[in-house]
Amino acid sequence: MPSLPLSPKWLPLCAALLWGGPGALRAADIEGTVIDRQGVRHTVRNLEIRGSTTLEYYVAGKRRLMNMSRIERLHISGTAQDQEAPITVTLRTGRVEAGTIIISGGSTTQDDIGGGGSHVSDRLTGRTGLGPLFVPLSDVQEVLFVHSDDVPIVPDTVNGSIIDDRGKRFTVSDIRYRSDEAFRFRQGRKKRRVALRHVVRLEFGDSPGGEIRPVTITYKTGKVVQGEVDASTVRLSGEVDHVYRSRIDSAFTGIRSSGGSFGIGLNRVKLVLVDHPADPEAEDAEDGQQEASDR
Amino acid sequence: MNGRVTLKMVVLALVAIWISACASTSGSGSGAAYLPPPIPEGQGRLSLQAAGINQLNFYIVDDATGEEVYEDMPRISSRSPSAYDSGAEQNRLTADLAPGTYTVIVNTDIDDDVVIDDVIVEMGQEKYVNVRVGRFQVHFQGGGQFGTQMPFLIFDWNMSTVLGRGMTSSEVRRFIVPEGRYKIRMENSSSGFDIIKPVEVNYGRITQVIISTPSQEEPEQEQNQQN
Repeated sequence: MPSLPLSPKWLPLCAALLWGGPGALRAADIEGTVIDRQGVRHTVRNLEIRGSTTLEYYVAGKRRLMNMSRIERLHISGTAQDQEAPITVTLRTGRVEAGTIIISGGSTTQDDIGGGGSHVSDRLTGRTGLGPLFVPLSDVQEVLFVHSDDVPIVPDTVNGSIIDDRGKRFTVSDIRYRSDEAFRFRQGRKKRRVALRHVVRLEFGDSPGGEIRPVTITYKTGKVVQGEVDASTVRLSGEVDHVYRSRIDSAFTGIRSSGGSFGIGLNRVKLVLVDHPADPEAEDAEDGQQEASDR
Repeated sequence: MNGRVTLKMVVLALVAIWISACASTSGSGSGAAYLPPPIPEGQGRLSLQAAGINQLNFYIVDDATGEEVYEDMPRISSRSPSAYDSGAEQNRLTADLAPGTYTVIVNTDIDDDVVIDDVIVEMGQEKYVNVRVGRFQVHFQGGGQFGTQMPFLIFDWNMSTVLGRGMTSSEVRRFIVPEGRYKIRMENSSSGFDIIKPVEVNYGRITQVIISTPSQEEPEQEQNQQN
């Protein structure tokens, strides 16, 4: 008879799972109050938009994907007939983003999508005390999210310095990589990503052709990872001018200390140094250790 | 007499039971390949459900340590001219893991990944997780002028960012992307061929996109006019 896997060494792990499991589950569920265009309010659990907890919208023409666990409220204005409705997203950090959201983009002609094609269901779904809720996104006016205190507030800006291949240093705030908060790289055939807030340093090396540049990523934890990025400047067939220019010249974007916008391509960047504000708890712990050693 | 008949019946029944037992034993031995293997002792099982997709490029990160604990990258790049899908793909969306909380990152054929946070694997239990991805397939009818392999770009709906690249194929080739709306653009500068097609991708469905060159469309129009 095989021995049961409940040996004493697993008990702490089981206890941790029993204690941490429900919290993690809570973190995955999104709750909030949905107000439709008629002013009717619904208290909703398991809230999803288009079957996902990630909201897709456009800010200044750039696509933005935001997890709902980071949103405090969103307001959709315009009319129910608008295909591109203005949206205001207020993050939990207090940052406000104004942009547009595509609704009913599926109203394309039959010629555009061949037989067997599907349409994205533009609706908000969830559960209320009375049962399941389905609201067309065009009827949603406002969503006020309710977050548990266990769900941490993720900082939405990454600040630091970017040094180009000529050694010139730029102090940049709100650093993004291709409009994303994560840096994407490759390890051979593997695609990997790391949030910029977890990174201390990105160092780009030189390659003979300059098409594929090696990159050394130093994590906040001290871990060092090697990878590579596509720094090709070849124009792709079908790329219009502004898309090509943004790909080549604006891999890393941000705001300069002078207030102007900043952008640099992967073929020009040498080093990205991310600032991390000192953690007060860690500082306290260090002070305590120092006091103890002094004694 | 009755006692002998009863005895014979008992013997026959025992033989039948023995034969069936042998058959079931051998059956379970040979049929083990058709059943999911048992969950290893002290571990749990994580199964991804992608609505008909058997293989995905994904990796799993342990939330406690931040280390990558599992990866599977069977799919070839969407840009590869030699890539194709087979109907005989084995399902590889299962991983046996130590109990804990994990993050699953699924690489798609565009830059956007599907990230599933807080996946809890319990000992001896099988956990099913939905991966909200869909597929689309591009049918390119270019005739002799272009052949069957044409590169194209995958844009976001606003066409402000190139999210990925693809290549059409004479073989069955489906592109896996997160659920949502995209536009694809196919351009050939030398011939002046340029087309933009909207693509809407839903979970569990395959969106078919048919692209024809003008030379391929004309005969059909002529036929319609004649009719």
